[in-house]
Amino acid sequence: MKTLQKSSIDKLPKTVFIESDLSLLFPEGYEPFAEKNARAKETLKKAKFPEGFWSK
Amino acid sequence: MNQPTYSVRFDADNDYYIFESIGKNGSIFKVVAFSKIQHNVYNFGFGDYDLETKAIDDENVSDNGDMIKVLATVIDIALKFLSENPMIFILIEGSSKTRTQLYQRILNTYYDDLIDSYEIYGSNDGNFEEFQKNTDYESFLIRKLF
Repeated sequence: MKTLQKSSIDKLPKTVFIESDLSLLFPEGYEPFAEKNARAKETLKKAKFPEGFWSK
Repeated sequence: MNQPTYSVRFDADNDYYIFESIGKNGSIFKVVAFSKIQHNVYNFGFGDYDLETKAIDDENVSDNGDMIKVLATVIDIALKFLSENPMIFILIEGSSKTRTQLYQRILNTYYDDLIDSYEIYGSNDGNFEEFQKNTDYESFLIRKLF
């Protein structure tokens, strides 16, 4: 098992995250990135992975 | 990677994130979304929010003069999502070849920072393998090591 090390990632300036209801941005029934997600599902369906990949 | 970022609003229920890019072409709202496409894989989406149509354009090149700040913000969002979702992969595929090459450049640039804390895979012709720097890939899978 790899040992986690403090890297420069930990020194990133902190982005301010503010929780909001962003579903109001989109019309009812609109699915953001619907086509892109459909393509991604196809990518995964056809993909081959190293042995034991999903059991890690 | 130590770059300024924009403030981000997020919807925890829907895994949407939005921030305002401010640059030479004015104000452009950017949306990042993580959509569940398999039980442990979320698809990464990134595009411009059109205030008139209330839709997202993920092929637009906004050229707002703040690309580094926008990318730093997107990276921070992705790392936050991965930190809060153990065992989850995000799948990254560009909406165009140019976008994919941009994601490739980001991963090449920050690989040494990321590799101790993240598993990174790249795929070509549908075959995923451990990400190798300076190898061209068509899509990427990333998850945080815990």
